[in-house]
Amino acid sequence: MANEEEVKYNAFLEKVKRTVFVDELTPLASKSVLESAFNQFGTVEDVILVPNYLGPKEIPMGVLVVMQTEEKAKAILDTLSQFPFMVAGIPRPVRAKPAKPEMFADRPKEPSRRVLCRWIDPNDPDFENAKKIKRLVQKHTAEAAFVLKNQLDEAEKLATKQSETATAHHKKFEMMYKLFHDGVAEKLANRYNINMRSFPYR
Amino acid sequence: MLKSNGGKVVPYFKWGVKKGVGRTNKNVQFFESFTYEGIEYRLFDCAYFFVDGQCETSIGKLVRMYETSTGEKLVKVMWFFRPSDIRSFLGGYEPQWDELFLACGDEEGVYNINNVDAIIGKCNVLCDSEDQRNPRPSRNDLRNANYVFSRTFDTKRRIISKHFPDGIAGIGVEKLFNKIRDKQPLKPPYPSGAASTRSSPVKSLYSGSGSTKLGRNDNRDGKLISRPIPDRSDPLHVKKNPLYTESTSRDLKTKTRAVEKLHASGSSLDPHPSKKRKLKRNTPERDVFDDSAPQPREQRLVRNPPLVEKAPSQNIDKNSWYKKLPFEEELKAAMVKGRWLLIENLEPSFTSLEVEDLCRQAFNERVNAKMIPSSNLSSPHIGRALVIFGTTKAADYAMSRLTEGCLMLSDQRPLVGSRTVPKDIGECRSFTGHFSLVRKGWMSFEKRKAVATSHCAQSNHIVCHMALQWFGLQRKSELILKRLFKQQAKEINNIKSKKYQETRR
Repeated sequence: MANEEEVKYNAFLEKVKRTVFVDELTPLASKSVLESAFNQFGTVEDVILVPNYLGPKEIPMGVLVVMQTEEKAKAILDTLSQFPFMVAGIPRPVRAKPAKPEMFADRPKEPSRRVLCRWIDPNDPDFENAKKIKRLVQKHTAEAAFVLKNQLDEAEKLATKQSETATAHHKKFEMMYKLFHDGVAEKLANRYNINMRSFPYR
Repeated sequence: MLKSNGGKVVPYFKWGVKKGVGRTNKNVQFFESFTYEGIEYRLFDCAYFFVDGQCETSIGKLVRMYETSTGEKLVKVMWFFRPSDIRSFLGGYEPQWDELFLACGDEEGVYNINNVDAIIGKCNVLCDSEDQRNPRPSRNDLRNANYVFSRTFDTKRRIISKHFPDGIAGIGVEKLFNKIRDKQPLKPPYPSGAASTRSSPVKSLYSGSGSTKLGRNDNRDGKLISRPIPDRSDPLHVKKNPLYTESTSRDLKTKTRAVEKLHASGSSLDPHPSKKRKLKRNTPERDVFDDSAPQPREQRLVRNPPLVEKAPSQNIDKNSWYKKLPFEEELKAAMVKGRWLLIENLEPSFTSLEVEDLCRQAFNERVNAKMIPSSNLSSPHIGRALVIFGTTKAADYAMSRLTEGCLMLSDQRPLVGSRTVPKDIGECRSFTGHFSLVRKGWMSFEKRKAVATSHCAQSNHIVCHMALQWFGLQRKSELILKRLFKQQAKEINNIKSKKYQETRR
């Protein structure tokens, strides 16, 4: 029985090694889109969506991509740490990190571990300390939430900035496109004796 | 977070029936109900509220809902106090586990105006007061209630009282009691049945109630104007009010005694506890105002003592429990009822099953637990799990035990319970940092293909430049989080090592 547990757990650890945690993903990316995206690196065995139970919902989606071999997983990590890789949208790239066992929602339990807990009496010398740690944990949670919110805000800011830039570019291109289309550019080129072929955006 | 995406109105909020416009400001629109995140709230429903910086949610009654000219969706909320909120004023009174106190008095803190999005979920609060004006809840209703209240807490005088003033913050007290679902008792000249059973024992106590009735009809208009907010309250309710006020304030004692006597004799004071009502309670989307007349046979029977004994591991929603809904669904239902808990500071490597096992050991409860999968954004020191209890009581009990007591794991990890509500969970249809498809024109020019396929950016492309900006931001966030977690680890170790030094000494 214990053996069986161990075998199962080792198999799981091996799977973790073959897995890449990808986040900063758009929630609009479907499983099949993700699969085809990472199939470029090697055969994808499975894509597991990591649920976001605690919100806020603006947090980018994260997925676990299980590859067939450890090397392929490594290839993803290498490539994505060097080049921005975009899935189902531009320009925000995704981020890949090695997966950890805790990321799997349905992981098997560690073999031969028993969960023990006890209620501490207020008279216990540990009690005060435990209270302190509890307060600390609450503080830490609040800190993490604050940092997270900050990061979301920053992402929002960058997105706004970029979308403004993009809109400006778009307007510029649109104008040029129109000028080429209705022949004004050509007329001007003739007038000024410029070779239109050298213009790249035609 | 109410955010309108590109001018679209937020889809998860909808107003119900409009009640009217403001008297002084015609731009203010009042409503009778609204639907928020799939839950319908009606006037005088109770709800959980998120209070910034507090682990515990607050519970309040929605006494007014309106939209201002600027489109702000507001609710006026009358608050309930939890026993812990007013523990220094409890005196010798020992509150029940699920007891709340209605705020009254004119001091601050009785009510305030809140944004709709502070609402977390619906809360079923029943009034268990023996006050004459209160339609008594049935035993079954009480069992299904999240909380009960039978006393008020005067914020000015700081005392707990059995007595309910006839109006709190401009709201007639009838509205604050249990809902009257049948119109019957409200119709004044009701010849028989519920109305008479209700009033007859009382009549004998004070003389001339008949004449009061007449008088009421006569000066109805005058009474209406004298009410603080007559436009809100049903004229019938208002009419009833003076009659009861006079009597309650004067001979409260005699009346309560009379009520007790009635209890003893086994007759029913309350016309409403009906099968219909019970059924409705069990369905999640219950209709609170029932227009149909009550069946005569439904008014019955023995009134049981108001205290409801509850077996701790009794599970009300047994059906849904065993069907094994997907966890998200179950969580949603649990949140509405408040029978969930977030347990923090678990060993991060715990599995959901181990957490369930832990809760069985610690609280002697069968629960449904889910470890929160860790991510790049979550702390590596703290494991967290969402736990769904069978009943609200069990969850509240566990929460208070975790707060007041201390549950320690074997490796010096005290567990922390919290009810900070998962905010805005659900699907997000847009993604920060991706150009929306509105700008298709731009993409056709650039590279529409880019959207369909996943790719690495080409270095000569503007998208690459933008992507690199994101890259930078990602690195920055990573570093910030890394530093934060390192700092936190140091703090934790500090406390732990201090402890070891102490024990050595």
